[in-house]
Amino acid sequence: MTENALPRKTIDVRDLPSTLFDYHAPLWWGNTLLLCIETTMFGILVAVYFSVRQNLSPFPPPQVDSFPVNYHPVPDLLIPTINLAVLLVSLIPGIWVDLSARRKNEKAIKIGLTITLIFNVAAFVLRFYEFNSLHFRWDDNAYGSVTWTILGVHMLHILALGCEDIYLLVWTFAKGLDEKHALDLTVTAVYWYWIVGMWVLLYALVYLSPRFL
Amino acid sequence: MNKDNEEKIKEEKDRKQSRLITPETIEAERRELEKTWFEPRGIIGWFSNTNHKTIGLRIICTAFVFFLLGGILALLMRLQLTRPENNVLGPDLYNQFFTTHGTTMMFLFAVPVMEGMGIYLVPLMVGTRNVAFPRMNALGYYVYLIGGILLYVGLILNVGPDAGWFAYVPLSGPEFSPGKRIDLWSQMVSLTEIAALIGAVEIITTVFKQRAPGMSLNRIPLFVWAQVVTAFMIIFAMPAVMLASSLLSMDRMMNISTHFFNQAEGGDPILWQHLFWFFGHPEVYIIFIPATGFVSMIITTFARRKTFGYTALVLTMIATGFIGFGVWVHHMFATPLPQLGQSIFTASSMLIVIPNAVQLFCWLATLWAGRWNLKTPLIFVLGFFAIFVMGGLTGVMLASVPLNLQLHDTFFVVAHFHYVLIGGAVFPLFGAIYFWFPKFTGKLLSEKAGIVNFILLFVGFNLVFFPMHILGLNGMPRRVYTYIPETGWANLNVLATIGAGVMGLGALVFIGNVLYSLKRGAIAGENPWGADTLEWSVSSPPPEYNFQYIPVVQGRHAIWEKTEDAAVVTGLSVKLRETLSTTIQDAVPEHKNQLAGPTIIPFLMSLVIGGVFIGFIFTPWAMPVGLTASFIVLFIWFWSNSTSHRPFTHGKIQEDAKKEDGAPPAQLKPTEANV
Repeated sequence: MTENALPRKTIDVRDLPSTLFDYHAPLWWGNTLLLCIETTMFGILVAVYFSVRQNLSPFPPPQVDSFPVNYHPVPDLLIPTINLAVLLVSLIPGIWVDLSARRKNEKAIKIGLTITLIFNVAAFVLRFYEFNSLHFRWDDNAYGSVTWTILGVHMLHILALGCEDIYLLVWTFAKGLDEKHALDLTVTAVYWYWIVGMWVLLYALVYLSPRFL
Repeated sequence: MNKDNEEKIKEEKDRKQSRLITPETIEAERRELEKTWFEPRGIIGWFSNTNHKTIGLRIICTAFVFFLLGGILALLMRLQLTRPENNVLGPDLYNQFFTTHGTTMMFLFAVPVMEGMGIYLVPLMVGTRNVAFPRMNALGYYVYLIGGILLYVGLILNVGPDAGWFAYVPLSGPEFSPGKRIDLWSQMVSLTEIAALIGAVEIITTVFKQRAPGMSLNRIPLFVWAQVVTAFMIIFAMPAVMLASSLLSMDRMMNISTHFFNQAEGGDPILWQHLFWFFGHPEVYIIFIPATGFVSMIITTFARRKTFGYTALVLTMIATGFIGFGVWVHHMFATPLPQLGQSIFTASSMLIVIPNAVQLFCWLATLWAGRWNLKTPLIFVLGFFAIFVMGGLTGVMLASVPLNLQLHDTFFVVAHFHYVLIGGAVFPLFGAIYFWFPKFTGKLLSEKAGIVNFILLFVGFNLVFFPMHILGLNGMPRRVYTYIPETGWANLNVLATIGAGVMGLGALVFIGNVLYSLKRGAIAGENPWGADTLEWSVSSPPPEYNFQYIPVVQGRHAIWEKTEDAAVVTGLSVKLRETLSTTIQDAVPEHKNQLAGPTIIPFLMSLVIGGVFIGFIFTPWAMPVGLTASFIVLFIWFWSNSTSHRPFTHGKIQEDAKKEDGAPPAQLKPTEANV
């Protein structure tokens, strides 16, 4: 380029902004592609679930080591449904943080992010009890294996997002809000929406489908 | 849209015409840029590098080292098969060798080398300064390297995997493969696929968001299109094998013992085959499509004319990408599947011939109407035509269920996929190395040695693999370490082994050529071949920042269609690692994007990831420990990445920038791009 004489015409970009939100931002694309990868993961787990279902008749398999024998051990609904509600309600502070980041409202972010984090921790803790609702251990049979894996992988996402929230919270309290972290907050929000949305589908698969389908 | 865009750019150019750049400012800005984009030296500096060219070259070199190792294993296997009842390798070592050979070539050579070429070339071709996420890019390389080393350390310690590169259960399950061999394999798969996925995200984001102004979607170089299609395929195919291999290692682990593939407890061995081939067949196209990108670039350059059927070529790549996901069951015709299903997959396997044929037609038409410049890269492409078409024809044969059942697990299949993969990917790759070596190093490879290299590879290749068609038709099975003299297979096997030796000589000539040319090769200059894409508009090797001024692209063939008064982009900071973000469709400048600089943290992170996966071979506790360690390292990573970013209203960096290059305060609100 350098020796190509002197380029006379120029497009001057110094007035352009340095951060844009949503699909304008490379970071948003990185996150979205990550979610594509993870959605594929869950898609394949769902396929595995149905493969297992095809192999087991009756489904879920009878729980023979309990007394009396549980011939139709469908998963319990109480705790999982509470957890689903927790996740859905957590969208409210989540969206609030998302919007506040665009409005550069630092105070709202601090409050909203803290609330989101509390919901996040609650969902994580409730998930531990959710495993009991399945009636099987992961090593009892393939049905137990696949349901534990679906719950576990999703739990890892809740954990990962909780860590991101902690990081962003520490940063915002320590250094205040800047352009880059405002973008980070909106992108993290997309991740949270995805986690909740994914769980609505997986909840229906794990808890409702053996009961009603 | 495109016309609109051109007009807009033209208007803008006229408006700004008055701004002149003097030689003094050019020189001063160049020095600043060199300082800003300087990558640290020394050992710690080596592990801190985040430049896409350095990382890309490292991936390519590492992949070639694995190619060589995999090739040596192949030679040893050929040696074993030369005579009936030979005893060079025992059955156990033979199993480990063919498994490691296949695993190396697919996971450690073919996919990484194609992505490495992409990571080196894509940012240059689209006219930007680095990939979108430079630190993650570095992380990908180290994770891949750790995965590769793991496999070979295993082989040396006699824990090399021995259940085939596809590791079918139940053979690879806890019952029939005790010990750690398969666990090593499955962790290696996860590590290399993490690296591949990182590369894919990098490439898509870079192409979507960082193209030079004017490079609308219909002007993207064909190689870049190939990389984008491949990256999307990686994103939707690789998770299948990562998940499957994780499920396998959970099935195998003593204190976990899940039952995914255990028939007795509701699992299913066939499920493994579905999951594996749902990745495994797209994998073939993940390797082949970038190679078609090489072929398109080489043919256009050496036919010295515009590519015939640009749109058709792009569409065929996309079509191949889609159809590639619908053919995996043709690897499983020997399993009890419903016949209707088999018919559907036969049809889709034959369907994929159509886009490939259209592609070949476009290339031939370009060559037909071109003025040939018959240099080594083009010769390799001609070799590709011959070999790949033959592989394609046996592919059509294998797509038919009855014939497939007959030939399943024979050397016919070995012949077929080597024709497809070596013909379809390795020949174009060698062509590409001859083509871009001058850009990588500034030196030309020797043409004479290149022709010798080609002849040895081409003759050797056909000597090894053509006889295998006949051996397969005669019933010689794959993956069996020897055969008895009464079969009458000995003569053809001798021929194949001689061919392998010839190919080995070809590889030696190539290595010799590279080493010699690095020292004594002719100086290449900017554009030795008269090629058309942007990487040839900068010095060889390119400066760390790629382009001092981001160019404005005026046509599909950026260099050929550049006019005398072509505009360039100014106003990017020379003090920060800034690059231009443009819109996805029309590449209109949108915002300035600051990229991360060098740091050793990605390397530390890769050690954590490697540690988790290797630890998981021995204990499930590696998981919680690894998660905690990851959190700590990532925290440091993010924190350090954030220090140079611009605050909203006031701050040191921003004022510095203002002082240095007169930039006004950055605004947060999304403004309409002003070009």
